[in-house]
Amino acid sequence: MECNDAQLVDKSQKGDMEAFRMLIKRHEKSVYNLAYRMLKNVEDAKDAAQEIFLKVFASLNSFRGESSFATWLYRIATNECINRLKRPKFLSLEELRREYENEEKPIEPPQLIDASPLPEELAEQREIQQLVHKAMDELPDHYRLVITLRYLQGLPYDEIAEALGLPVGTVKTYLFRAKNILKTKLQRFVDQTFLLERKV
Amino acid sequence: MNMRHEEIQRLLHIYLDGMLNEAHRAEVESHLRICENCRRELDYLQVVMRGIETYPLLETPPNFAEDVISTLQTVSQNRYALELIATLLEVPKFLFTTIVTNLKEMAKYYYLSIVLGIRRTKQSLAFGLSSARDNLKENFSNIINTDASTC
Repeated sequence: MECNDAQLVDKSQKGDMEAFRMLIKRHEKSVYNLAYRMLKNVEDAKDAAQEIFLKVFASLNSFRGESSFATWLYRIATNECINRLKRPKFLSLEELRREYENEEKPIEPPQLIDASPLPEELAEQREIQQLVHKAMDELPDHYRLVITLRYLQGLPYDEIAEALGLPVGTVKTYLFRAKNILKTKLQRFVDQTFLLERKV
Repeated sequence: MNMRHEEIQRLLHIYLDGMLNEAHRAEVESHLRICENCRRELDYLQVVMRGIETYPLLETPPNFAEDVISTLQTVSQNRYALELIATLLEVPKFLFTTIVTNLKEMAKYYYLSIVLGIRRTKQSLAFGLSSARDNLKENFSNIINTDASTC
């Protein structure tokens, strides 16, 4: 029979490393993706996710089960990501060059990753989705965090509030503002496309 | 209840999240039937939501969990090694502390002996001087008394 989180935590607290490995397996994807959304870099995300699980193990005995394990884990994960975002980042020459080139480029709708021919409508949908993804990457950190926790990790408002130590009302406001930013960027793109089409 | 237009647009976000209560949901839906602007707003929000939901999830790097466990084991082995070293270091530390403490005690003892010795000497000198002065006084008064009696 498969153990639930509480049982695995209990075993891990008693030093069962296999139970802790199973706990990691169960949550690694969401923690890794949360770290990736926040840090926007695969290497940093991997490093942060490892650090998060090491911290979880180190403080496992302080977990009393007052919230769900997932909420407690997200609290540690978000703190780790926020702390990493606060640290000054030292870029390599290659990264600096890439950043400089990105700054120089005019903002334009992202290119489709999949170059295979698609029906026109599907291509347009994809293009719009990629525009939203790009806009998500550009959101302020705290907005990106709540969007990620709500729509990618599927946490309800109250659990996000608990994980971030914020009132539920603030979480709702952040979500509202974040989606409004995304919507404004999307509207601008749709209006521009519409104008271009009319000119052609 | 007749909600303001801005209020409806704010509620559209929660409506799409499926978290509105029955009364608010009915109010939003009846407003949407009559308001073209809010319907367009809802369309945009739905596109945004689809965009968010289709944000691709990355696969975790291979052997991620195993790497974490192996790091934990290395850390714990290193901790045991450090604890062993610390225990071994306790022996010379104990000896050193004992010698230093004893040296300190000895130094304190000799220091006190010297200080006390000097004080005692000073005291005995002072005592000697005062008793000499008293003796002189006594002898002098004896001489005066003897002279007076003979007169």
